[in-house]
Amino acid sequence: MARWGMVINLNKCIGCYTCMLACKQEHYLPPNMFWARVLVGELGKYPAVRKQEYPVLCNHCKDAACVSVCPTGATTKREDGIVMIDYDKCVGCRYCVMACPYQQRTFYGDDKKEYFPGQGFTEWEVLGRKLYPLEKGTVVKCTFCVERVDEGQKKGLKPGMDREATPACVIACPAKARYFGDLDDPASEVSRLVSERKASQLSPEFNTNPSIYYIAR
Amino acid sequence: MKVEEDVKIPTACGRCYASCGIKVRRVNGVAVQIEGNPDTDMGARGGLCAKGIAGLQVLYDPNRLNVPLRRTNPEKGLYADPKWKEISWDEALTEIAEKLGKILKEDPRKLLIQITTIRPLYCSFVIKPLFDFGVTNIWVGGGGLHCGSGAHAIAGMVNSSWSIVPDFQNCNYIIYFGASKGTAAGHSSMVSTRLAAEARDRGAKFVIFDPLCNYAGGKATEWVPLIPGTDGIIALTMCNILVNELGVVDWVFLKSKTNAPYLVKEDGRYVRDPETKRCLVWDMDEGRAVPHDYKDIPNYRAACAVNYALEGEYRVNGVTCRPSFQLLKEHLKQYTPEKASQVSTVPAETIRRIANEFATEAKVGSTVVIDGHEVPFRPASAVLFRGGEGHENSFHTCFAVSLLSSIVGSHDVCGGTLGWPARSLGFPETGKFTFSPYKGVDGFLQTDYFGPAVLHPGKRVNEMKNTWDGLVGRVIRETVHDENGKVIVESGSTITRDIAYALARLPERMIKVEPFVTGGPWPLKEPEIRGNAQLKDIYPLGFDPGVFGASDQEEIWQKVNLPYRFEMLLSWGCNTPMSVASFDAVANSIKRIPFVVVSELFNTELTEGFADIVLPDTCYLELMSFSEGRGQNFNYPYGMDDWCYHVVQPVVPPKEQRRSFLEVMCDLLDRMNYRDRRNKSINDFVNFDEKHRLREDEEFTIDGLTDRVLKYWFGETHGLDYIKEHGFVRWKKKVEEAYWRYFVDCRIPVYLEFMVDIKEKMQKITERIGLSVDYTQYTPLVLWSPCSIHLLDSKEFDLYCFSYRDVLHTGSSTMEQPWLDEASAMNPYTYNICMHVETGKKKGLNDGDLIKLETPTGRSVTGTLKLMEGHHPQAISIAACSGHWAKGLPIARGKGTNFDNLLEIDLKHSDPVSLNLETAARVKVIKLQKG
Repeated sequence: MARWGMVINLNKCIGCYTCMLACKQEHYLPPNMFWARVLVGELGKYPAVRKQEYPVLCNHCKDAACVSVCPTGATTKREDGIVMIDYDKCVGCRYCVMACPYQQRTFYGDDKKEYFPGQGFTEWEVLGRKLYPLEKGTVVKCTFCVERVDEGQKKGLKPGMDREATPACVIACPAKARYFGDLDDPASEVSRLVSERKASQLSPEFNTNPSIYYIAR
Repeated sequence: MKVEEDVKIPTACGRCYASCGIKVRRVNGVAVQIEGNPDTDMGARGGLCAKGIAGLQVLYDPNRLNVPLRRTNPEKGLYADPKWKEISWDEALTEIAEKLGKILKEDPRKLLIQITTIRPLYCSFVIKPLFDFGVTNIWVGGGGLHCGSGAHAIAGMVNSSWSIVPDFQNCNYIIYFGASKGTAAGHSSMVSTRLAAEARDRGAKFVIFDPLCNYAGGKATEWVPLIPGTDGIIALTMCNILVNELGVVDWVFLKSKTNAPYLVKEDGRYVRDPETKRCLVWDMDEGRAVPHDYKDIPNYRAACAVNYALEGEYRVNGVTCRPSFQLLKEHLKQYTPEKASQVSTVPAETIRRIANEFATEAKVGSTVVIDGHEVPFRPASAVLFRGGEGHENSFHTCFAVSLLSSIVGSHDVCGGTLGWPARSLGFPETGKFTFSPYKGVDGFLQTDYFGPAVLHPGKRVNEMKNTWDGLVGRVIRETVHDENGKVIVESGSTITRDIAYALARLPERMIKVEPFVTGGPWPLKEPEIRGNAQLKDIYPLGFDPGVFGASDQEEIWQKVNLPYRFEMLLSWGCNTPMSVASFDAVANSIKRIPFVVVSELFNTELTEGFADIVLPDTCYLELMSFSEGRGQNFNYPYGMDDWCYHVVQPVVPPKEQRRSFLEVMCDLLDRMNYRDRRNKSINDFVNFDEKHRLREDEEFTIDGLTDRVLKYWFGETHGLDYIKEHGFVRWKKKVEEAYWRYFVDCRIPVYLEFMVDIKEKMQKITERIGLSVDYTQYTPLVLWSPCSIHLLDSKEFDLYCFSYRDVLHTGSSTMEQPWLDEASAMNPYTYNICMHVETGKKKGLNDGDLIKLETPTGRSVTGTLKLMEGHHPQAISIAACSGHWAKGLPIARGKGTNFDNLLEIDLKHSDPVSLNLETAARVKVIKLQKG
């Protein structure tokens, strides 16, 4: 059984927000909801300054804090590592939102927000809600594009190698800064990158063992 | 819900002029997802940028125009309320046809056209018929180009291309002087992003000269802050170090590919053979002066054997002369690191070190074998674009940066500084799309494709005075007779050597060949007054001057006795009032035009303030367009990436009453009874032969025409059916195309001899008509020239304000898309004014403060402050072109700060050579409100 993970190469990343918007597009997310974000800042003092770009998303942690606090069992971790939310079980208590040290979970409380306020929902928004319905009053987050991963594998495709089976943020990146694959397979691209490029997790001191690794600049 | 349809349409993106290949997924008639096309090199091989993804929000924005509108409020102005009335297409086009028809009959120069820079290739086809009528006034770059004049002129002369980019795939040492290759919109933006990221990751060093450490500077290996507009002196200093300290010079390149060996006499002009008028060089082997093309130099080996003198003093026909390189070498000595440091604030040691590194990394003398061809390998490159060249010293700055690559011989060879694809040996199956630089007047590079074609209407290949090589192999489009009426060559024939020679002997005439013919900057035209409203007739190196919106426009036109004034403005897209320079100055010039017609997606500051009739346009997702792929040396994948000709095809049919600008133009021409001329223009554009040409009165559908054109260009198997499935036609790039420099025998200047004559001729004219021109920069030797912003002695206006490209935006057109607005708000810099943290503290300013920036002439903008470490302390910056106020753009309205309003737009604040506008301004900061 694979353990899905991601590597993000900060050398290549240009902070263009394509991953963030590709994710919104893939899941027809409403205004002001982001399952992937880009944090931008600076390191150093003039003139020895470096720009910092950190694309962040749910880390699908091995020891996920959200899973351990969920009172209804709505949040679970699959065998392949993907942390899932069952919208039927979620009651929107938001304990998980507080527990996640990476702040990657969002409460979906307002389903009336329009992209063009006061001008109604666009065709895209209307169809999007049918193609990918979100449950109002539940917590939502990145799913490692679980539909693509599962459907793709059914067709015999390899997540991380075949576009159709790979998360949207990974295939959309124009700098090819994101990689997806099986962290438990030492021969996979992500495993090799983690060891060869000494990729590290974000804030390992939180002790949740994220499945996303960053190659430093 | 039931999914009745789930398909992917391959097409091309239309959110910046990179035109990346995309696929759009359509479910039950609704476009739902956009992704990069993974099968093409035209883009990021499956990746895309945020702007491209947000394209869905252009399609489905409820503020899109749907019906033609007429202004009922006669008052025009920046904040005027047009009081729109909806009218029918018939009413709109009847009136437009009547007014346009009158202008075309009386004087086509009375029409001013402007087209958005986002998709110029579409328009290269749409407005061609107007050019064929004699319309000459076009304001490029989105209704007001305020950059590019120096850059495109030099890239045209040196690289036979629109602009320059490092060969990322093979380059190890990359210098940017104010460029955003790989981090923003523009030529091949996602190709560059993909390639630059790979280069970074394998350890290529990026040295970025930029006042700002964001995007370009942000991805630097070494970020080097400098005062805006001082790139030229740094480049010249590096040239000096290379030539005079290190002696790292590509002698082969200089001797065989430049005018470095051309003998120059006391007055600065070439020594010429008295009979043939050819420029002379001193052949060291033969110990005498010979014509510059004495030896054929068909390849690198032959170039290595050339032994013309680059230094010394000689006597030829009684005249003392020296190779131009000797003059250049001595001239460069004045550019010391200490002097450059004083001007730019870059430490002298840093400049010296970077010059040394560049010299080492260039690996002068090395070669590599690719596909059986030996080509020089020079993995060091220096490029610039808007940041470096957008100043009053534009031409010389661009030339100085270009000189760096000339000295190490890295122009258009493996690893070096590349023009966008300048040479094509044609599509393999049909031979179409053949074009190349060739040896022209005085042996210099000339080209018959300098795109995008639309930007230089009506220019054709000039018959060459001294050589005719370039015509051989081309297909000629007209029947040519000699002085006695005898036919030399029939239209549609291929030119042989004999025919070319016969053509070359004819008295001065223009010859039309191939569909691309536009003619590059060389040879220069003679300065004279010919009624050009942009002064391009007087300024031979004036590329895209801003006279159309200038505050001294009327004064200029009086002086040149312009025999007409504009009666109509036809605008496709464009946001002239807010995207050029000072709003007031530009507004005044538009106001003077009595009839303004705009084809647009939205109501903008241009339409609301100034349009008489607005036509609802289709966006690229509702459109069939075959001309979009015509950007070979403009936005095609460069280096060894493949040729990819993409076609824009509709994902959904146009909604409401939207009609494409193409359809509208065809309709207008029909209404004016110009169907025959319309069809002739199309025939010329496509270069149809007799068998396939449109008949005079022939009607067509856009789909039918597209199919016909594609099959003609790419063969029977590549018609519309093929495109519907694949979206583009692809063929392999050859080494002789990608790294063409030593495969074509032609030269480029390192010495600007033509300046001597131009200055003399221009002075006669400008003095006579009382036009004030600063001729300091009309020198044959490249020089550093400070701009007004540097010379202003003022403690009050202490900061250099400039704008920069943000990857989230293209011009002013992207703030309306909610996703891009969300990302912009999330980014700490995009919507804010940025300043160095210490400078801010000294002024008592903090993050979030509301501030006003004001120029010495009282122009001002306001915005929110963001302090940065990564910012030159003497500069202040604003991203993109935000600050919308139009009612038709509710998402964009009130977001961000506009920069352009700070700029002056007049001759005084332009490069006296290229007429590039000064795009930086000295400002003072006033705190309005605590954040």
